[in-house]
Amino acid sequence: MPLRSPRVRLLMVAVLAMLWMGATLARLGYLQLVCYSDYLARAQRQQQRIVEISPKRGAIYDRNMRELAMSVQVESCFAVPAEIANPEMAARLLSGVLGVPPEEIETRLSTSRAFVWIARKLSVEKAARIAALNLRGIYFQKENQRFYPKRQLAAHVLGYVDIDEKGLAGIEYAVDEQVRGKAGKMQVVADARRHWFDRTEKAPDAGSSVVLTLDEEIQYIAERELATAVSQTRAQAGSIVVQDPNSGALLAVANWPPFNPNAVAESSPEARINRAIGALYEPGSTFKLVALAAALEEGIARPEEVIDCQMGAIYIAGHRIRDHKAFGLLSLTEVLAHSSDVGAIKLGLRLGAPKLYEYIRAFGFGRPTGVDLPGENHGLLRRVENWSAISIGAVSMGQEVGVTPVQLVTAMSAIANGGLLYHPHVVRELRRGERVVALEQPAPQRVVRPTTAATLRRMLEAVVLEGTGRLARLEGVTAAGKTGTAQKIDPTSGRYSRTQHIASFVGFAPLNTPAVTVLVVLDSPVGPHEGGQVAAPVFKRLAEQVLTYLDVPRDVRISPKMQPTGNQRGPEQLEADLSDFDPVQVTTSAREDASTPEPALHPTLTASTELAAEEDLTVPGFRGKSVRDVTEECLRLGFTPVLVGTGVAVEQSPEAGTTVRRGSRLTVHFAHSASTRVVSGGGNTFAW
Amino acid sequence: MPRSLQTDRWLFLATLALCMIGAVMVFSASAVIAREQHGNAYTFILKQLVWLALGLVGMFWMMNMDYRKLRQPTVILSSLFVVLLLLVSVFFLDRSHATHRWIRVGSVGVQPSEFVKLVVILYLAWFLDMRRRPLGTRPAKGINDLGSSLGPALGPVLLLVGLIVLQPDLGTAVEIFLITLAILFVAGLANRYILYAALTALPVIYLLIVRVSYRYERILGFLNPEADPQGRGFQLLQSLIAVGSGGLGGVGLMESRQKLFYLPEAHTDFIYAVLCEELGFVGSIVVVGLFAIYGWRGIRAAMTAPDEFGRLTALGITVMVVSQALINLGVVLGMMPTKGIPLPFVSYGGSSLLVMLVATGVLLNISQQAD
Repeated sequence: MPLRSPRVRLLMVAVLAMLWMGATLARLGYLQLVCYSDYLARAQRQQQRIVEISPKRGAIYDRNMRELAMSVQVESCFAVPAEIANPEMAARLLSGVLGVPPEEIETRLSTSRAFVWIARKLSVEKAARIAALNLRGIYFQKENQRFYPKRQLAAHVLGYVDIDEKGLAGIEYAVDEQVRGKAGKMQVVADARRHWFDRTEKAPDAGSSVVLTLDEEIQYIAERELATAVSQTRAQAGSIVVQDPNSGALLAVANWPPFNPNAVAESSPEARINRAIGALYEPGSTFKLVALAAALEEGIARPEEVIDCQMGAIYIAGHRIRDHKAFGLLSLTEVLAHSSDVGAIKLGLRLGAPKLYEYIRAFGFGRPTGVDLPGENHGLLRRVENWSAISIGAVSMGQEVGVTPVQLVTAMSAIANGGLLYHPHVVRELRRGERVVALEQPAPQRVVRPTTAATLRRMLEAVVLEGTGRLARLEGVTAAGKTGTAQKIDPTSGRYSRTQHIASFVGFAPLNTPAVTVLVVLDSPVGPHEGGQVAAPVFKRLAEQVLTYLDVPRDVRISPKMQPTGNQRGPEQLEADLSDFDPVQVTTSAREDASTPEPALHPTLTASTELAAEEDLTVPGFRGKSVRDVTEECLRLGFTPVLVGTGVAVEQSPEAGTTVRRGSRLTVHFAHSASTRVVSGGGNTFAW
Repeated sequence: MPRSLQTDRWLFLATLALCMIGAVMVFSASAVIAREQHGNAYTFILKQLVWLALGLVGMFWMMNMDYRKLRQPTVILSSLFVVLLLLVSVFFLDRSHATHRWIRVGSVGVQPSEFVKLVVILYLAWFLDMRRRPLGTRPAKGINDLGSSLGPALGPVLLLVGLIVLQPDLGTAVEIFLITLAILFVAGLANRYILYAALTALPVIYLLIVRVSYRYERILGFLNPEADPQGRGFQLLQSLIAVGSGGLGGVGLMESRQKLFYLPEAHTDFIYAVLCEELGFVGSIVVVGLFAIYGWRGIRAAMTAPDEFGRLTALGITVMVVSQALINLGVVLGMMPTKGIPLPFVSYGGSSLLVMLVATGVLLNISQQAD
């Protein structure tokens, strides 16, 4: 009977054992190979606590390597609850130091976790007091804390970090990844009784440091002047942006209201907005630059040509648009200098909407500038297809568009530097140990030819010398700029507010070798609210200090003595100023620094006044006459008037008595008599 | 003199390897707990090494002693009487681990039930062998005679098992039951008894299925760790975590985290879980492989044994070691309900180690005597 033979039965037992072993092996494979990761995760969950140690965050420096943000080591206190015999007493003692209710601490100490923070980033004094308690189960861990030694200085650019030193705004956010470094890890291994028996630390890697283009000194000046201006004008908010027009680098970005990044929680969210890149405003007259630049670049306007400003009103598509002041015939330079709306609209109409739109885009509006800061507003610019019939008028004079201060200052820099639109930026380089990574900026885009830019500069200088921006005139240095006053749009009604304005001034200096472009924007100043009244003086104060700091040589030979009331010059001074330059050049380019001539500009500004022998007409004397009288007389006699400045005629070219051909240009300079105070509260002369 | 005897190297080396792995693992698994309980990390391993040395002496002694000397009634019956006495005496001693399993002399504890296993094997082999021979002038009754063979064979076994169940030590009882079944089966148990056994097993199997489904639910519960991880599921869950987190290569010798009080009985019944965690799948299958070698050489020894007593003894010892190992692994791997059974040669525990080594010595001797 084979089944009963011991041999067979032994084999049956062996087979049974083999099957059983096979099942065991299969089970082992399933647990250890298939389910490995599940069980590993489960094991780690109960055995380990991994605590991240924030790495030392890279410092942020200004362009002269002055520290604007740095990280300092502080103590953080944590507990291993299982080691604390008497949580209630420990909580009471800790509460005494930390000022946190003891119940709250006790709750934390009673958790089943192997590790709990008690208080992070303690002051030295508190850490010492906790250490003195000498409690079992209470430990310290060094952590880094962000510290902004200059407090609110450049806070909007720098941004701030959270408790874990993660960048939440500004540069801290923009280059967080590089600056943060690599987190270290503290691994706490606990046994089943939550005894903490192992603590391994992986040291964190420090992050790269950042070198900004900002200059602490200029930033300080900008913030101080902004604060002064805000307190004087009682503005709600404001921004000052200082840019190097030759690279697009931002030298200062100041915003009001300020905040202290060391104590972010104490500031309101509004205060933390970097208005210079994040706040839209309607630029108003400063935007007239675009239409003007476009018209000049396209060759459909010349600085000296006369534009009929139609005594203050123009009809577009049946809508009557009123100028802020009734102007008659103005040269294009005067249109800019006096900021005639009608004049600007006429330029816009001449260009046509598509061309105007094209130039607006080219100057960087309605699109991101690519600034290396988070939270940039792209601006507001409707596509040209969506423009209404009157849009062309509105846009020409800076309405129906929204810009950011950085967009505008960058556009102005393009004019200052000869026509190149740079990318505004604040980060110059990143440094990791010895390695320096300079951040390449994209190549600038050409917006207008250098000659057009030069023409524009001279026209913009007229704004400062003779026009709405006379309070921006600098002591000893040439400057150019444009004022702007925009009515704010009432958010409730959607209409232009009668009481709230945005006053601005954007300008650069020195005229022909610009070192800085500056934009001053004041939101809702109380009382005087025009750009020329409230923003231009800020520009002056700021630019004078900044240029001195930058050691920019003076380029005005004779210091104008009429400041601060001085927005006019005596005839003699004018004489002196004008003695050595081409009379046809509308602006006072005589003050051009001899060391930096721009010969390329001159051919385009050909002398159009022909002192010909043909004795057609005798030039009359205009001295003492008003702009209006001079214009009327010129037109009656058959001259083409080129009018510079406002007030009464003080100088003319050619001189009275010269015989010239009919249709020749007559350049007449106007100035206010010494007793006339310009820009009084009523703004009788200069509305902008 | 008998011919020169050839030691079974496979069996011998597998046993030594298991003992060495055991010593290392006992130290690894017990060091922390020993330091905490006794202030000395070496407390358990030193004891274990003493027992190991004792066991090896016993093994060599048995190896070099003809197993047939064990076939004398005086040896079998007196050892049967001694273990019976010991089993009874534990009930009059202090309880330990809430059971009456130990006889303590100073710091040394002895577990009589471990010795019972070997004695039962020898008794059954002797008795069944005896019943196959003619008794005096009467012909052999064979082992299937209920009154003269099966009854007297099972009587003392059931008495011992009953006492062990009372301790209570269900694991060892089941173990003895398995050994008895295997020996009877190979001794030539009639098919009808196997049928009866199968029929009586049916309700037991049914109960097992119920238990399995119950355990299946418990495993489902583990997948949701919040279910009852600190309660009844704790031991098995922690064991599975230890085994699973070992992965292919393990966390490294001495590096087990689960032994740090997560895993109860880390150095005794659940030492295999620590081994799986520290040495990974590779180490785990090495241990299974060593027991497979043990089983293979044991069955081979049974097949080649020169007589019935040697065959049944070799089989009994092999079944004792291998089935105990497989039950222990099954418990650790969550394949069967938790039982307090140590892993032969590996787990901490002097009595078990001593008995296993002495038994292996006997087995080695039987294999030497092969035809």
